[in-house]
Amino acid sequence: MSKKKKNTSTQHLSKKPAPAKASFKLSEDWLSLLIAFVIFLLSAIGVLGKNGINITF
Amino acid sequence: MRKFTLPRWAQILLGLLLTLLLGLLAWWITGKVYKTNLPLGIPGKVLEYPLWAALAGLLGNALLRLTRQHETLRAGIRTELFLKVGLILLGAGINIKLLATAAAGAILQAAVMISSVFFFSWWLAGKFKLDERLRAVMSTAVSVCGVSAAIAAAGSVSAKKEQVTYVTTLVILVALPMMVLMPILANTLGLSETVAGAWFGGNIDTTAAVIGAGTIYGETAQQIAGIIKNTQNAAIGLVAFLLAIYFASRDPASKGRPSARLVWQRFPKFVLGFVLASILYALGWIDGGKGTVIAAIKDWAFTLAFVSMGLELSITQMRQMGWKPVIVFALVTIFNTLLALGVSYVIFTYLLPL
Repeated sequence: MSKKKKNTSTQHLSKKPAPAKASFKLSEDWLSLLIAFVIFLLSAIGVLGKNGINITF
Repeated sequence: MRKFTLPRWAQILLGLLLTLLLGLLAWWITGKVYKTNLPLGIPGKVLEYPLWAALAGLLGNALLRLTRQHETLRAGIRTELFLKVGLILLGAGINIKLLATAAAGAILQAAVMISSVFFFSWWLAGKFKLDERLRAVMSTAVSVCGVSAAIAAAGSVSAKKEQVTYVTTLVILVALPMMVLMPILANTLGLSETVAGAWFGGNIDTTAAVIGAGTIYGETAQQIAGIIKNTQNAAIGLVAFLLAIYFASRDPASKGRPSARLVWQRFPKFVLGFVLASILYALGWIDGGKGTVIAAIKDWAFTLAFVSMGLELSITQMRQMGWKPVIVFALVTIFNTLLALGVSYVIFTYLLPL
């Protein structure tokens, strides 16, 4: 019975309040920076561009 | 019988795929129309890609709602993401000299516009007895930068989700026609590309439509509109912080005052990316000028943002809230349009011409 109690107690302790979800806007901000700077890097080293993958519009 | 639902990753993937397909459709139409002459002798090239992209998005929106699949794919409709990527890439084609020259005028215009439009909207919404949180979200959206400002303000004042969706829908609904009508008006008024760009940047609420209007008017107009709008975007953090202080001081249950940390949390980081890209361009490390691969990807990113904007529009949300906020929003938009025209004309013609 005590074991049962202990289990319940542990379960209770492990039930931490759900961490507040990181703002979607913030993560999207950082993601946009990451994508843009990867594009800059790829164009600077020539992977993207006239001598590499040439994307046009 | 259990209803089958797609896993979230599949919803995102399908949403992105649909956005891409509609973007390709818009690009194809732009190419076709560009070379033709429209009725009344209008050259096809005046109908730039933002218009076709937004229309393709609206078409996709209608099809998704007819087939009841809009909710399923919504996770993959990422207007803000495409827009932010496009704006950072836009920075790679703007010389820091132009940015620095336009900065003083942009800051002055942003200060006048944000404070005037915010308080006019706040006052008018009060007269119409709108809910205080809706007043805050709407005033921030219309005075700062549309959708992202509405989201930031909603976080600061703990607005209801429906209020944010409602304001967001209003913003998009008004911004889409303005994106096309304002360049026509600017042309009729004979405005220079600088003044027109400043007008679009100071007036149109959502950044995507600002860029769209600038693109339709000309390359310089697009750059100035981008600088002006990014300057306003940078004020989101401060406005959100001030709103949080105001609402915290009025709420007796509220403990702990909002800190300067909130300013950083709400600050749009992509604005830093825009400035950094401009510096890298000036140093010659990257090139996002006309005809480059970065410029092409920027145009694709904006196309996908306009498609997503059309896909996001929800008329149902509008019906649920009634007409009072629509009237307030329309009156504030008229005030915003006239004031922005005067302010941008005075600043960029007499006070700080470029």
